[in-house]
Amino acid sequence: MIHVICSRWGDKYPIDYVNKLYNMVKRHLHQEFTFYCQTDDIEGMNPDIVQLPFLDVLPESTPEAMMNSSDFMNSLPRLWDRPKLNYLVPNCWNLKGTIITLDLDIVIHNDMQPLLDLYKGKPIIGRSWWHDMEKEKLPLWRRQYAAKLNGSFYLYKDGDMQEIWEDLIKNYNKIYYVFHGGSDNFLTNRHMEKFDLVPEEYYYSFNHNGNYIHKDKIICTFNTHPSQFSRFEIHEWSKLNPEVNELWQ
Amino acid sequence: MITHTMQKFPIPAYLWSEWTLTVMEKYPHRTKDFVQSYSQNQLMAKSWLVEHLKMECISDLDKKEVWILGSWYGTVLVPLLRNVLKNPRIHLVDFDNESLIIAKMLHPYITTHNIDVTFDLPEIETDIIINTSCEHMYPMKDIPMKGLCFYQSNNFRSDNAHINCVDSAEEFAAQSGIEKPKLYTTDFHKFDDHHKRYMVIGQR
Repeated sequence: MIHVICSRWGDKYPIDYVNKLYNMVKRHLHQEFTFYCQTDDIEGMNPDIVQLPFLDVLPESTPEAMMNSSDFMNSLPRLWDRPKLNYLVPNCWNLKGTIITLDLDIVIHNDMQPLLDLYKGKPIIGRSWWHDMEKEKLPLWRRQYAAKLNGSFYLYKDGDMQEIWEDLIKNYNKIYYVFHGGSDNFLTNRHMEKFDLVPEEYYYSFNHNGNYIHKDKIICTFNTHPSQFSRFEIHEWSKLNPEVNELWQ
Repeated sequence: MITHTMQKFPIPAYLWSEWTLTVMEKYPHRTKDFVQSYSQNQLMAKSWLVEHLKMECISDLDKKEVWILGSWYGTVLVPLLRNVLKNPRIHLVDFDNESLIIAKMLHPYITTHNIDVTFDLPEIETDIIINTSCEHMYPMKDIPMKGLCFYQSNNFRSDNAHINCVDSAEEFAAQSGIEKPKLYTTDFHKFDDHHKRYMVIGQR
């Protein structure tokens, strides 16, 4: 059994994003799976999707506690995607076996089996292949605790994240404080070597790789950036680009 | 030949030419970063600190062990400390391993530690602890260490790497873990008088 999990909080992404993600997984994952959403808002959610509660094992990690934390109240949103850290909790939600976690702002447009075949005993995570790799080598990259990993996709088996979890629970105060950019920055700078990476031939960014669908790849992320050509979310691109519209259903 | 004039240089400026050429050749992606490590700003901050260090330690300048946290290349501090202290044993700590590789090349007599100060510094007990990069790190009071501490920070928030800026020497002192710190404030750089650099000194 494969468990596929996504998370939704706040109002950035309407419920459509969850339902369409489920539909895409149904089309492209040809093994038995259950689809879950970690959320407290199930209005309009496809009833085949299983709701998961936000865990509170980590302090100030539920959306409500995070938003009410002093950092956020003082306009310092340190480690802003804390609910995603629940994916690291050992035996989270008592799910056993293979776990795939997905961000909402992705399009899956080919068979997911090659991603499952990547697993060789280490957790797997996306890589921001669209970065300028020369820039990543600059000292400033390290000094800013910048990210190289892209957590729109994880694949792991229960227990794989134990060591990362131990670091997180021991040092959560410092981790929240230092990693402004989010969980990708944390994992890149403290645990990158513990992951195998989704290769470039399967994984890309619509907004940073030319604004078109790369037909041979599998997962297309839509990580936005407030610049002219990379600021649109999927629902905006689906109105502008018929191919995105056809795939994002 | 080293002339008398050269000998009087508190820092071996003539060596920096060699060092910069070496960095340009072996680590070209670091050239700009290395050159910035001896900017006017950096010289001001480090010499300001060393002047105070000399006053604090004037009675005993011999064989001090010094740990520099967030050391970068140690470009300015290491030669200044060797100029002021007699036979110091200097340790550089930085999470950027390549900067330490270069530092070791420049100053073969130092010891380097590739450690993220915020997370992984073992408790140190030593003579002198220097951290001129506190704005990059978790508050020092929560990092265990014992010794005479010289910390610097600033209110320059425009740099994304500055995750822990402060707005006064008093605010900085409160997060230093030093019980009775001496507080100092100066201009951050020559361009404006809004940005300030703060220094706290005291025993932990």
